[in-house]
Amino acid sequence: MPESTPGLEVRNLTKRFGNIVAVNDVSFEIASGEFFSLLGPSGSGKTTMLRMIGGLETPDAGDIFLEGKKITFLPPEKRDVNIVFQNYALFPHLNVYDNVAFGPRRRKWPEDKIRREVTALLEMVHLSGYEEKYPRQLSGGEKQRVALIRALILKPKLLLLDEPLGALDLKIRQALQLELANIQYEVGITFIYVTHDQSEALTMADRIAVMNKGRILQVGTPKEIYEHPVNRFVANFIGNTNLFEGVVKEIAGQDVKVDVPGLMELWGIASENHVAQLRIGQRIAVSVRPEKMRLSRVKPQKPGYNLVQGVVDDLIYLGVSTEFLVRLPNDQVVRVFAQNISREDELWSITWDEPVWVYWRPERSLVLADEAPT
Amino acid sequence: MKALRTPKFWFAFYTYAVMAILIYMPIVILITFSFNDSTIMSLPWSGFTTKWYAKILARPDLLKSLWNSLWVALIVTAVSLVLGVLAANAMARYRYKGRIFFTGYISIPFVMPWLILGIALLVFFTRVGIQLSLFTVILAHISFDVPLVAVLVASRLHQFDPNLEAAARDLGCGPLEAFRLVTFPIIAPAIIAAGILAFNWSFDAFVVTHFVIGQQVTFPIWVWSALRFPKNLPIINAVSSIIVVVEMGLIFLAEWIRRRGAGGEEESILF
Ligand SMILES: Nc1ncnc2c1ncn2[C@@H]1O[C@H](COP(=O)(O)OP(=O)(O)OP(=O)(O)O)[C@@H](O)[C@H]1O
Ligand SMILES: [Mg+2]
Repeated sequence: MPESTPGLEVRNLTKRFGNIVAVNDVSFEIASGEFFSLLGPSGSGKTTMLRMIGGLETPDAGDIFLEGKKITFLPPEKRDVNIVFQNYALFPHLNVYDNVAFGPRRRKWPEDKIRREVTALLEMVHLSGYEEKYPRQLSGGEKQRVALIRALILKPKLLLLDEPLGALDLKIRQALQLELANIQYEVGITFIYVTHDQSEALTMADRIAVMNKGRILQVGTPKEIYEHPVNRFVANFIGNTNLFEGVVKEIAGQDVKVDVPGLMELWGIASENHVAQLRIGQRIAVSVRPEKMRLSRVKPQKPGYNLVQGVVDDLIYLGVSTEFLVRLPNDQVVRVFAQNISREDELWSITWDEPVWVYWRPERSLVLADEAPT
Repeated sequence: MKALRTPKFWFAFYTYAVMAILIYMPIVILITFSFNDSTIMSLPWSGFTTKWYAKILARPDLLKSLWNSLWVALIVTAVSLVLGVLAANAMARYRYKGRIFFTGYISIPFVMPWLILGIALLVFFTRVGIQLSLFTVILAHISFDVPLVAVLVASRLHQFDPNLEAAARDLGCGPLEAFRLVTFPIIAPAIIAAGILAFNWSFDAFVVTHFVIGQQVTFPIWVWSALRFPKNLPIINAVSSIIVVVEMGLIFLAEWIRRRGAGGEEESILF
């Protein structure tokens, strides 16, 4: 097989339930061994997407290729793909050992090989000695790990995980996130990891696909998605951002001058794809991340910076940083993060109702499309 | 435990005690007098005997009625299990028009007086022109046992996570194997429990049976006619004692199986 064949390719996949288009003409490719995350709000079609790849749902249109082989209509038991379900779906009438051994037994592995593999996997997820327990006797985190190795034991080419940590509390979730990332690295299996938690996707995934309303809006590394969101939805969904609504005044290369009525004129940049579609006078939004903005008591002497004055509405001390909520003249409130570096810092003493200057470099403000540019 | 002795506790305690006495006393009296060496069911106690039990075997009419009840109940149970499980499946998994009529049918044995059901069936059989016999008894019993099975199995299927079947498919089962290895074992306890209860309902049915049996005899019908002759009373006591013990055993078994199958997650409805 040539090097360039992707681990998984999804082409124009569509699935309807009555009037609802759960997955709408979605295409993407995943490399072998990649940790790929599908990120989107509830109802965006993530589970439906996974179920089609796993063979539990038949697409209305489009195709799925696993290592170059078309599997669109193959029944689930014939696919080299396994699923970790959203609510674990452990078999309640079987103990932990028999749950994990379920797949291998269908494949008629010899019993001594099954015993070896199950024992090794239980050890890997720190559940040695749990063989005889039943699912109802396990905690959420333990169930989750059993569900994981039950799917992993068959060494599928692709493992689909549907919000595997969604039902767990924060502490366990963070521990298991690390464990999962390590396991994926060790076994080298391609993972598609569904989540609606953006921080989970950012920390774990090699690449992220952001979904909304059945469509994929952007695919990229966590850094690309965070630093260069293609549209308003992505910018808002991944991390926090400040949005300025305005009108295009001037276009110079990728630099765009935007008039924000009642507030300021500012400079931002648009992506190469997007800038070609921009027109003077068009209504657009500009996104600036809170940590890209800076604060000052005195008017900063920074030619070329975007600059606006406001009043501190609220401030939240977060230990490593402080979050300032600054009310601008147009009554819009922007969020600014400042590192708490030292007590001598001029920001240290800033307090409620104080007038401050907010400023940032033009290339930190991104001109966003409403739809992803094509 | 002192903290528990609140007025609420005593209320619950007395309610339970009164219920227990109301339910168990007649059974205790029945069984006690089945060992009394007298044809009259009253004190003073005239001595211990097992002769009434021996006499059961000397009554071919009684044995015949027991035999009839037994095989009627077995056929009814088998048919009701098949139809009831299919009905439960339809109820739990699909939404369709006309569901309301179906739900209406399913609730018949729980809300309709047996007398009305018996008369309705009698009218139906005579209008359609079916000769009254044990066959009509079987049809009548099936009509109320199917809903019983359907309700018990559907409540189990309702809690059944369809993802379990999906997981089985994902791990390499074909559709039939997924049902055999996952769905069936999980709902089997409910099916067995429903079978035992359906058997009891059929075996005990008197009112409905009385209307549709014609010239034949089942055990409850035999008891009814035998009661007219006081000398039969001790034998009735004896055979009833046996049946009470066997049926209570079956019901406890059914509930035990049902609870075990639910993985201890389901509250018992009996104890
Ligand atoms: N079997 C089904 N029948 C009808 N509609 C369905 C079915 N499955 C999903 N849908 C609909 O398709 C849309 C996408 O659902 P899906 O379960 O894929 O979302 P999701 O992104 O996984 O959401 P969540 O984060 O809540 O799990 C929803 O509007 C849902 O109501
Ligand atoms: Mg989902």
